[in-house]
Amino acid sequence: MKLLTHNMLQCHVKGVRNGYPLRIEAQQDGGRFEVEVREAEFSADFLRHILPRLDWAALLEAAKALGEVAVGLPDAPPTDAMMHDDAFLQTFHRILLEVTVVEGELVCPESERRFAVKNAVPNMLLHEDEV
Amino acid sequence: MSRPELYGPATVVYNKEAAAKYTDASRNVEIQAKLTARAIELLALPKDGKRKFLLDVGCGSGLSGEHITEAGHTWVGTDISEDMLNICEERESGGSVCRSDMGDGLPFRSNSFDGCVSISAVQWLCNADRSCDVPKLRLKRFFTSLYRCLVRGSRAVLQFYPHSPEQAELITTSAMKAGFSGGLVVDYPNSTKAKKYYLVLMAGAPCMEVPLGEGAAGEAMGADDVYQQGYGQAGMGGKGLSLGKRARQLQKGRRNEPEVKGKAWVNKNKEKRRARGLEVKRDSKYTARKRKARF
Repeated sequence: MKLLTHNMLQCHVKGVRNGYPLRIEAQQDGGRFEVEVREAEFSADFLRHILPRLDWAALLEAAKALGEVAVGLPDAPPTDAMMHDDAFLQTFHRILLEVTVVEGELVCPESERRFAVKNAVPNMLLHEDEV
Repeated sequence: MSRPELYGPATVVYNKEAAAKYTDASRNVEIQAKLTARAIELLALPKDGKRKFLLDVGCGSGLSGEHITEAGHTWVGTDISEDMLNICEERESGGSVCRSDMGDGLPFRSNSFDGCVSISAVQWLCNADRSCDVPKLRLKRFFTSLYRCLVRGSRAVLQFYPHSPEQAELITTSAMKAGFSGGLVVDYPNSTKAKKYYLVLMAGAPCMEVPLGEGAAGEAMGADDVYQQGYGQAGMGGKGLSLGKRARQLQKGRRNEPEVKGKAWVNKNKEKRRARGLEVKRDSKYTARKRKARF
């Protein structure tokens, strides 16, 4: 799961009013937590295009949860000048599209429902009573 | 297996073996490539050559996703079969996937995607694999959540294999009830084998740029403003009214309307329900007529 995907994901369990943003944590049984950097094609245009749609606070929090591999984001959303600065765009690209959560868990902030991430695939399947 | 959806739930039909077989079959690869190319064509994305953010519902092992990557777009996929998704991750098809049942609704935020592509997936929604599954409800949850997570004015192209004309009708009306406009595109309608159905859906009116009002501060538009752009009107101080304010004003206006619900009121509401595609009794001279005071 890339952080771009994480930024769009929300808990859709019935009755949950604000299931966003999902916290990234280690797996509860066994405490497995694995993060990788997987290469992706760089496109400055796409980064500029997607920026207004991102929830910056959620991205920042997610990057903090991933630790060392995802550092270098400013506290406030990047300015226009920064979005044309090549060095910053490379960092932004790496964090948003290359850093991948391979093993871990996503936790809904409201219901504390846990969604497992296995083999880089978050499992958002619901149980019968959650639909 | 010409109609896999008739053999059981997707999680069972596409187990580890079947998923690998499906992905390796050159015929499947070829058909999926053609279908995806056509679906992307029908999406009619603006031809500015810019990378767009797309959703692939029922992405499976990423056969369709590969073509989205090749077409130069970034995509997120969802599927219910774990084995298919694992193959997708192994093949590095360029997207990011998550496992979810589209009948439960899509687990994404509003206004996330520039478009949606789905290849041979929507007919699965009409299955009832568990006792709690009701196809109509599953369709409703899917289409309302899809509408929500698409940017206003964007399109969704869903290729599917309807089992019968009634099923195609059910799927199309469910989409319309969720607020989509658009319809069914049938390729090669006279050939039984090459015939392909594409449901082409439009989510709301296209998002138009609203010019800033004179004298308004030229601050940059944030993420929330993009949503309102389509609704904001030119000359209202630039940014347009927020939806909450707008709703309140409408309510205020309603208070001034006469309380009596006469023929005009009934006809207005019937028209509204007709537009939504609901069943409505025909208009007649008796509509909303007062009864005699007999007793």
